Amino acid sequence: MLTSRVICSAARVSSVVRPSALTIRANPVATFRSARPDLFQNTQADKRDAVVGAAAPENPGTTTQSGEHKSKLHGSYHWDFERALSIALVPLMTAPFIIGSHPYVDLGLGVVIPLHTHIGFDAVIEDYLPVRRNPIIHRVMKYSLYTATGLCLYGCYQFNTNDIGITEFVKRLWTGKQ
Amino acid sequence: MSLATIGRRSLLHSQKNVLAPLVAPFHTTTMAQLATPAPDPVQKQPLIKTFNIYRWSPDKPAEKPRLEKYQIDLNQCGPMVLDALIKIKNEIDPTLTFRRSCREGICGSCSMNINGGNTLACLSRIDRNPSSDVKIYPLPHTYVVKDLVPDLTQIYKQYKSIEPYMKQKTAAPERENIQSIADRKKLDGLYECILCFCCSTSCPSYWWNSDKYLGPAVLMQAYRWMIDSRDHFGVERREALQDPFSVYRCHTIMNCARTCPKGLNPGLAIAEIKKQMALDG
Repeated sequence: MLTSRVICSAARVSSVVRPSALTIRANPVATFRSARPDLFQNTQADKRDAVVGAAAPENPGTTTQSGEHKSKLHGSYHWDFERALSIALVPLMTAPFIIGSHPYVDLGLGVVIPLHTHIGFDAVIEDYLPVRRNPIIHRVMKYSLYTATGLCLYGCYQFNTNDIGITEFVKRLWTGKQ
Repeated sequence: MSLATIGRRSLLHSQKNVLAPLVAPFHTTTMAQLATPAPDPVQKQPLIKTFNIYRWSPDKPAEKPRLEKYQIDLNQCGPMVLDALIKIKNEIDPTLTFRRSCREGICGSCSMNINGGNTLACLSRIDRNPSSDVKIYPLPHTYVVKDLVPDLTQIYKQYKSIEPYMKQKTAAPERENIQSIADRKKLDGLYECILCFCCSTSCPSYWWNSDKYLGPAVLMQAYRWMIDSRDHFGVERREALQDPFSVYRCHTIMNCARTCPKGLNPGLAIAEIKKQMALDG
């Protein structure tokens, strides 16, 4: 009983003392938010806003994360295009099973498959032969990939226009009929 | 000491002195009931398990890393791999070096490669079958400081680069940043990450491109701040990732989710980042 009374009075003393301490050295004390924010509101709120608020400090050393050039074309747009090609392949691959060979399906496959493959191989080169470790091989592989994809696109176009077309070719592969 | 306790103590002492002769005859325990020395406890048969542990010391840089064998009696050891490591360090080889702190899976210090999988030593049980060895390596594809201690400087740098703290555009509120229960729920499965980096070091894509790809652990924390309803810099955080390497080296291999000792799914968080980046336009 006696001890609790002593503690109570001590707490009361400290709460009486603290405001005066605040006026003497406002900054270090005020940063410790206690249960009585009304004591600090006028002293510190403006400064806090200046630090945490609208002008949130930029850390110049950390804004560009990988040191890579930031560009949506190589970021999200590239990924969107990749996904779009994958999604486009679903109807293009299933359509021939339903409607049989059709020149537009052949045309679509002749464009989408080479581009889809190109992006896949491009990821392989970026992963395993990055330019910063293999500058020469990386460039050689990149140029050969572009050449191969270009030739492939041209070949598919020729095959679709002057020959039987991709789907018909696959069909004949399966049945073995001329 | 307060006055009251001093007072009470002195009262007690005086009482004891007065009553001492009265209290003494009440000791009625018979000799047969008194404690006697226990017989020797039954000793379990020793269950010897071999631990193969990766050793390399920077003091002898010319020496190649090697596997060192330690034999432990599992009946004299705690159940977890960390217990065995501590036992080895205490009793067999004090030069064995590894990180550990909390021994209960909340500090993320003792992450290492145990029997081919990245996990926390304190959370992985020792297989009690003595016929197979336990193999312990440091986290794969990290620079080794010594023995099982990997150099995590690069990962910490990358963690710093995503600015893992709340940033707001409006003036700070007078008191707390209020968050609805639904908004708080979005952080579940993300905030539990203890940054042990088991996931990042299990990711093949991170092995090949750790200098530019941020890795699953760091990206999951990036996402943790993107979806925090109290943070206002989600768009800017995503714009800072708009390059081929920061995020898009994730090929959804999903080793991260498989290895996470806390059962989290960094792969899902990365997929959410990609989705949000696509929807940002």
